[in-house]
Amino acid sequence: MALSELPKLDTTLDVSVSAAGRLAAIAAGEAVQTELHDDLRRETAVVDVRGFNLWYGPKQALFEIHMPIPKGRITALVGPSGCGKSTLLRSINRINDLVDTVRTTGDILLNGESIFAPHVDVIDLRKRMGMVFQKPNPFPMSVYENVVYPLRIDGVRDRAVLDEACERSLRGAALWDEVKDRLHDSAMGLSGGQQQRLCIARAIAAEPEVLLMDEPCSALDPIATNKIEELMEGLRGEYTIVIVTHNMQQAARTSDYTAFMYLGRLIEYGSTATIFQQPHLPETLAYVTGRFG
Amino acid sequence: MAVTCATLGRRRAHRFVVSNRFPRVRASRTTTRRVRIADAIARWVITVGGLATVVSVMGVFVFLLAVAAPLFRPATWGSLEPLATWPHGAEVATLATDESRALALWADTQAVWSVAPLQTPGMPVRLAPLEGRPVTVLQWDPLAGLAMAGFSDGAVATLRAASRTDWHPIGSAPEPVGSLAVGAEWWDGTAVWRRVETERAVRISFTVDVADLAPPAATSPVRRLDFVSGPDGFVQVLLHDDGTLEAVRVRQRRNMLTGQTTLFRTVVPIAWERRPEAGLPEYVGLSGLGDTLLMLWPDGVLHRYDVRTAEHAQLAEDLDVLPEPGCRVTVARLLLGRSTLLVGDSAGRISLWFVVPVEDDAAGARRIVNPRRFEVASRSPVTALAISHRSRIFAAGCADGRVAVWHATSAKQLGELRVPVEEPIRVLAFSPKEDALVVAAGERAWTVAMRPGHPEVSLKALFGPVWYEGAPHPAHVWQSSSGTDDFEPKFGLMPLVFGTVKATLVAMVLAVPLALLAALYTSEFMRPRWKAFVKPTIELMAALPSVVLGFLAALVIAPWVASHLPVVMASFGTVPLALILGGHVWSLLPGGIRLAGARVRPFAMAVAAFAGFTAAAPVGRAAERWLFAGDVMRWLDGQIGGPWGGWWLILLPAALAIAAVVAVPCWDRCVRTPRAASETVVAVLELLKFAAVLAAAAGLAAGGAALLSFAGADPRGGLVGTYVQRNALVVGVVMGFAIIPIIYTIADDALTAVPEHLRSASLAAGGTNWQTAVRIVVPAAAGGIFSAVMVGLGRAVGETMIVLMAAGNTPIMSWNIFNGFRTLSANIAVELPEAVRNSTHYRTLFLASLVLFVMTFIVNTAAEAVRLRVRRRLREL
Ligand SMILES: Nc1ncnc2c1ncn2[C@@H]1O[C@H](COP(=O)(O)OP(=O)(O)OP(=O)(O)O)[C@@H](O)[C@H]1O
Ligand SMILES: [Mg+2]
Repeated sequence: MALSELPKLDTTLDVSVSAAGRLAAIAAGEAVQTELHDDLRRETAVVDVRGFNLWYGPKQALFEIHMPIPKGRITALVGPSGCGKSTLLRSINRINDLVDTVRTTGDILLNGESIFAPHVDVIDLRKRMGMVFQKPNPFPMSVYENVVYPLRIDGVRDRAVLDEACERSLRGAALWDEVKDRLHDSAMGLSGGQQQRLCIARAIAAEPEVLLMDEPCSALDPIATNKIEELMEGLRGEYTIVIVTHNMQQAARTSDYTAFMYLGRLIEYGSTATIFQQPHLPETLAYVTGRFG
Repeated sequence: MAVTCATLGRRRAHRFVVSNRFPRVRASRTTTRRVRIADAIARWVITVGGLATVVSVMGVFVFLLAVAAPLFRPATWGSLEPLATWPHGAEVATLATDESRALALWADTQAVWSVAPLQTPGMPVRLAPLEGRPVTVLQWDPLAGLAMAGFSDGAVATLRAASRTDWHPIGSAPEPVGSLAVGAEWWDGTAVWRRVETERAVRISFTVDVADLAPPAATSPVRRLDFVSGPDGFVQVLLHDDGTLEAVRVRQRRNMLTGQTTLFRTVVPIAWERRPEAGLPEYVGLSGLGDTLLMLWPDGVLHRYDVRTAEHAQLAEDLDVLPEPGCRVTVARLLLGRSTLLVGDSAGRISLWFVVPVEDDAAGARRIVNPRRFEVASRSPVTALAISHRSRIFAAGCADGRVAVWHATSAKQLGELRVPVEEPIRVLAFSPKEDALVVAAGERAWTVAMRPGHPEVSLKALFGPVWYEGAPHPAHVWQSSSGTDDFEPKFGLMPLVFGTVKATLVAMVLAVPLALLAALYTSEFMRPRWKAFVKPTIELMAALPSVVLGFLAALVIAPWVASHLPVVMASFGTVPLALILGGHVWSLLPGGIRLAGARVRPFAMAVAAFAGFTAAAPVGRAAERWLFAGDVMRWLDGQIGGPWGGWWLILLPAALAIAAVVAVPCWDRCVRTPRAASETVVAVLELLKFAAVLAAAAGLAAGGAALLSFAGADPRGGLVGTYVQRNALVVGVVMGFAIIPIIYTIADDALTAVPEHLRSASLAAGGTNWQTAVRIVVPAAAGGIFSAVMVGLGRAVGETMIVLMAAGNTPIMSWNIFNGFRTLSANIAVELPEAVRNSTHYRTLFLASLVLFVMTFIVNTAAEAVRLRVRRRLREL
């Protein structure tokens, strides 16, 4: 991408120069006000991140994040590596609780209710969200058992239900044709890309309300990527999807909203069209056009 | 590719910038000599080390095998060497050789002894201590050096007939000795001279003289005579021609001042049941303890008299020792120890009889049994029997000139030989050291050198039940030594294998669940900060030397458990119960407190466990009252109470499992938790469910126990029984200290090594910690967990000091967990230091090590095979 967009370098040079000053200020620890676009305020937020800070031990990884995630939409999280996209995603289903050193302030609401409230059952919370991790992490079991795992732990024993969920999920993850003859072989025998799609299939098997996807396509070839994008397309409206991606075209193609993060701050957040065409902030433009850092 | 080239091109263009970042690339990269040498050395060291390990393990195996293998080597025989001299025409009654195999000794029926050199030619010398007085019966025991002769006037003479060895310097020896080669012999006409060294020679002679001539008690001729000698005298039985039977007890007392011995004689007439149709018995034998008198007629009738008190002797048994009509008893002998009677018959059979206690007879009744029978291949009548004075070996000579040699207990045949004449064997004798057999047939005699090897050992005798002398039935017995000379060592390895299995099983049953649950808890549920403290603490337990554990077990824990058995047993139930109840109480707490208390949860658990221990005392006492009639020790001993209580307790764990599997789904179906139920309601319902499962299990166990008791079954005598202070339970608990840390550490490492991303995946899919642990982490770590268990098993199988000190070391085969046992390893540790090198005992101990080696080898190989399979299944996570 960098090479193909090289010519743009000159046209956006002035932007990146002015952006560099602001980013340097952020790096120096200055507080930033998130540029939150108005069209977001018209949406109903299924997940609402409010003034959220997160520390890994003494190191702060997220700073004052305010981020409503609209219901039934696809939201893309973009930003340079290490800016806290995964951390934010992992905070939403509280999987970050596992990291012993994590400390948080602020709140995240799911349908208006705090996910940190004492009476909230974190297990129930996670059952309502599917998650695809950055690295494929299939269980060392058969393909079939991998996919139906969320149903198994819910106590579903009915073979027909399981079979149906398995096939539907695998089709959704564009994996069915490749594995339909080896459903009962070990998932560890699949290729990296197949494993990632298997994880996607597992995440959607229990039909969660919110689907959190952390770079689901980073290990996939263009065909599979295309299929995953088709899947997201199919799920749009029904499911709320949050996707982390480093692929700007993908973000531009698939998402309704895009959030740009930098060094643990949410810099700008608005509809994808605006973010990619006329972002309010020059640093966003610099980033989405690949002229950055 | 294109990009790289472009970059390189640019680098050349701006050399001054780029060279800072990339030091110049050397034209050719080579591996230096040093690296190559280090690599080669490392490869060699690793190869040599690996091979050395394999070789040394194989070496141990081969060494053990080499020491143990001779056990199974057959006896070796020399060739038949004709005896230089033989008393032609005399009627030889008894034949013998001296200790050093220099003299052939025989006594004829008239108590005239002949002594002849065995190895060199020479005329025999005749010794007639009774000076021609006619003898009606002669009995000579060469081992005891005693002979007794009966006369026609009813008198009995006691003779000392023994060989002696005197050392002489060559100078004082007769002249021909000086010209002998070392080891050679010369017969001086009365004795054999053997030059043992260049400067010394021994003179081996035989003397016989009358020690005592008892006046006749009954005037009728003595016809049968037998005697048993002991340290302070002897007991005789005399059967006179007129049918008078007497027991004569002779006590010798030595006057310390004069050095004279005085004999005190008590004569007790014995009433016996005569058989007028058959006349006098052909054979009269007195058992070694002088408590049994056997009378045997040629027609096979055997009468056993109980003569424990000679005055009240009575016919205890009357039986027929011949298996089929038409044959006759030809010869009978008592085996070494005089407890086993060998009966040879005219059909070439030798049957073996001994007296055993009747089982379950409080009055001490006994009966005679026939555990074995031997057959000469040619089925020719048995004409002579000889016994060894060292072991249970005997030889049977037949009418067709064949001699067969067997071991009486293992029934192993040592060999069969044939004299070169077609004449019946007249007499047979083993040399005192069991290294030669003397055979006389017709008018000739031979000696044959022999090396019996280890005839008492065979695979069947080692691993199968053996019917030992005096035992009521065949059994697996390990008893390698005892105080008496004529004791027969019993080398059954099964009690030791059993002990090893029992120790391992009990230890594993107690240790494996605890260790694995602990590992699961620390790896999956415990905060890292706590774990950093707990794990090293548990691992420290492994550092306790097992001898210290054994010492504690034997001297502290065993006595304590013995005096607090109900409490100890109760704590096995109350502690887990307290922990589970504690969990329920925890979830009943308000959410806020629970959240705040999460950090001190392990502490709360410790409190619950402590509460469980405290509750064990009253619960134990109550259980003792209700289940075991108030005294568990006497209940275990079978003195009081019925079987119900014991069954109930034994069935309880199984009942709990069944209840958990059956009752929980039932409960879940019947009691629907309301959707909007508060946490407290849910917790109360869970508690009720738990109580219901407990109640169901108790009821189930009660029903099962009642059923079993009704059927007449009693757990005592099976899994439980008489309490012995050092027992399997104590060993199991203490061995737990030794193996729990090992199993725990390996299992915890295996569980911890399961990649975090698998846990995240499961939790993100909505799994609880427990579901994640059980469905994902444990299966993924299955190989490691299995290894952990197997390493623990290997340690338990080989563990020595704890079982040595705390297991009581009784080689018995009883599943009773309150009884002791002896393991292979402890047995080796105890007995090897005192085993005579290369003796049967020594070699059997090596065989025991080999068995242990093979057992651990099988366990480890099986473990490795399973582990590989598991790993292949779960290839790369
Ligand atoms: N478990 C952890 N412990 C300590 N620091 C962490 C941990 N996980 C992430 N971090 C730090 O938090 C910051 C944000 O990490 P995060 O993984 O959220 O970045 P990211 O935006 O997902 O990056 P990428 O695009 O490379 O995946 C990084 O600086 C990282 O070093
Ligand atoms: Mg990331």
